Amino acid sequence: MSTDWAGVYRETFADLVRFLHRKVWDADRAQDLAQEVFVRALGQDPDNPRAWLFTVAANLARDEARAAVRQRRHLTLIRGDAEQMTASDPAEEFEHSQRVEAVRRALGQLSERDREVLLLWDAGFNYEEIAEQTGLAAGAIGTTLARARRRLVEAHEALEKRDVAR
Amino acid sequence: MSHADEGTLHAYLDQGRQPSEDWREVEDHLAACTECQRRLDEARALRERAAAILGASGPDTVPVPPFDAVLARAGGRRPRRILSLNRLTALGWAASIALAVGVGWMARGTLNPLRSPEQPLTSRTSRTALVDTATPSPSVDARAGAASAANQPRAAFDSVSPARSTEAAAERLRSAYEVVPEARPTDEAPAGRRDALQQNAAAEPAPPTAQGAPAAAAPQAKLARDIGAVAEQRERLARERAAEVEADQTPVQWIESDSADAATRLGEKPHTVPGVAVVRIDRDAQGDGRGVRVLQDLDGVILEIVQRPVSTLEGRVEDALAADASRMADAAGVAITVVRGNTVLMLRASISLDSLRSLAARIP
Repeated sequence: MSTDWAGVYRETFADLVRFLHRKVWDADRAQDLAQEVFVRALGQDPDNPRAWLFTVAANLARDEARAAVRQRRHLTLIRGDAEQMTASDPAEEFEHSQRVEAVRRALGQLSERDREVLLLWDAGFNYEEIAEQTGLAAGAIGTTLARARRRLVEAHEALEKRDVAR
Repeated sequence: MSHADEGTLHAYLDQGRQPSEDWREVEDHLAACTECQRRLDEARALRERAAAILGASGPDTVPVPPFDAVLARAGGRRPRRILSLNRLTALGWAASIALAVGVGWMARGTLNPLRSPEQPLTSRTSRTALVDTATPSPSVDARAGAASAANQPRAAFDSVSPARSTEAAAERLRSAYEVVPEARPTDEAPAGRRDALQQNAAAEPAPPTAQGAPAAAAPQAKLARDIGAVAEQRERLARERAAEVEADQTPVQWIESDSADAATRLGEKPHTVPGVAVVRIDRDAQGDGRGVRVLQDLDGVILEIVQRPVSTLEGRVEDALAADASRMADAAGVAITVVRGNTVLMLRASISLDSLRSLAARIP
């Protein structure tokens, strides 16, 4: 039986965009990549459509990150995010962009594996799905997530303290 | 039980809402251990804080365009084939089909007795080389020399072969990239391909005849050589055609497989370029079943990695690598052969040679 991609799209698109956004840090690009993932999905019939989508999304995002344009895109992301905000207060926009930047930098201090596990959990994957996606043992996901969360929080707090000290 | 470790506490918080026998022991311990209750509270706070941090990175709202937008985007795109047939046809990769099979090409040897330094290694010459290597003849260099000297017959011959070779190559490629259903008999030659081959044969101009080819004003000795060269070219064409028919009856067929199956066939995990999406893993449908093909998506361009255990190539790996180098120097397309672990890999993609080499270098 072929996959009902329209149904999967409705259920998964927003999670996929958030997942991608935390990898490419560009709201427009995340939307674009998420659509691209579904374009590639058409005609495919994987056993686990959701897992398939996130695998393709992760690979697309990785390629994206490797491209030299990442820094440029990051500059546009803040613009893009700001455009999505309803508030037009420049101070509020600045604060939002600072918030995004802090999370990006904090996540950047995690190992790739820890970051991937954390983002998959955040995207709604359960432990078994994360294990399947990453190749880790299901029994190791709790430990990996605990470490990833602790490092994220510590890195984020350290960045906040540094910014306050300036 | 002893104190619960941090991973268990996070797993309990993440999964513990679903009643399970797995958590009964943890819950019993938590009920009796104040230390672990405190650590559970810490884990809960950490979990919530991490979620809040991630949540702060947005996007706050995600507009979901209608699914029609995806369909429209897919529809506006040129249908993606595994490889662009037109480009491949232009590249003249008929001989690479044998490469795709792997052992077929590698085992046939690599010498190309007809190739002169100024003669590019086109698909036609490659295929001719395969045929002639299979039936070696000591007079082959002399024949080639005669053909070079005979300008008119040579030109006539060249005007015939490229059209046929590209058409036949296209047809062969079409079959090469078909993934056949498991149940399909491998010896079934699709009628469409047979028809196409017949059409190609009918459409191509007849090889120059002994009477018509030589220029009337040519000296008698040259005329005799020309006639001899043309006659031998005709024989060669006939052999090529026979080889084509034979090849067409045993098209390269791939059956969709998976990583575990491929690992069994290769004796080690199939090799891939890290960080590039694997679109599909196939196994070959013929021969000893040790051939594996991995397709990876280079953002719209497919990288094909045909793989075979070194042990199945009977010591011909060095020849294969050497032959590949000469092919790379001449052909417009790119296909390179490398060895990783106990596997020979043939990488092929419609990208620059440098890019392909770079990708190959990334394969651990």
